[in-house]
Amino acid sequence: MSTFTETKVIDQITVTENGIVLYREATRILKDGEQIAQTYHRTSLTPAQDLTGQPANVVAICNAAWTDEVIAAYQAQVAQQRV
Amino acid sequence: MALTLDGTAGITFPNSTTQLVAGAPLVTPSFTTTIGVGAATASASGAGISFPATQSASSDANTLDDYEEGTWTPTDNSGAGLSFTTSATYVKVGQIVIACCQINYPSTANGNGAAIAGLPFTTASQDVYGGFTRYSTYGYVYPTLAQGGTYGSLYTTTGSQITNANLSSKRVDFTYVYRSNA
Repeated sequence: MSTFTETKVIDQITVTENGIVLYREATRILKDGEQIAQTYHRTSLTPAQDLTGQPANVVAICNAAWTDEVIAAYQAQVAQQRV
Repeated sequence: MALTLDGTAGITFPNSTTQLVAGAPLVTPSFTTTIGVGAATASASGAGISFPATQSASSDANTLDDYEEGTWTPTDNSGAGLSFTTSATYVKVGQIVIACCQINYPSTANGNGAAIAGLPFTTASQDVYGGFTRYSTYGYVYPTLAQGGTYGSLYTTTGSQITNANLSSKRVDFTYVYRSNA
């Protein structure tokens, strides 16, 4: 009888030039230890955004990337665009 | 299996067909399963092309270098700290992203302009983007997107920004179409 398991892992974290942090969570279905399916969920975080509930490794990267200068530059970029 | 190189005529295969080195092939490749490119493991299901889980971007304008599908979480970017219930999916083909979402606004009297963040990929910085409404209990909503960002706002068709209060307890379903930066 086969055993099915589900694992979730953050398999990709990207920091863009303007400080936006994008990460991808992969949900993998394993059959007897061998991956048979995979789905993705993506999240993006902007400089100075509330990080409550975000994964610890993502929070660590955000805190490292979001210096005062990065936050100020990002907020200036946002302010000059009317969207 | 022996192959014969016969100079100017091309390559002769064991079944005596000949494939020219230059020009249109006489034998068209055919695959009955999925093929992997860029060292990607070919998917065991269906038939198609499997791209690497992490894009290997090509600078060539005629090369398709990525495909991915998944879900994402729209978040409130209005500054009001609203919590939505949402359902959202995306497909990325090369640089083109199609991101669909259904957002159910909470009951709110907040007057800030309605704004969404959390897009699955950053928009490219050289163009402007938007989307279209699929369904709404408010009326037609025109979604716009920032350049080089993962957020946008919601406008009426006449250019007025919709407020959170306008969307109180409303449902809006819309689709963004944009070019990503990768």
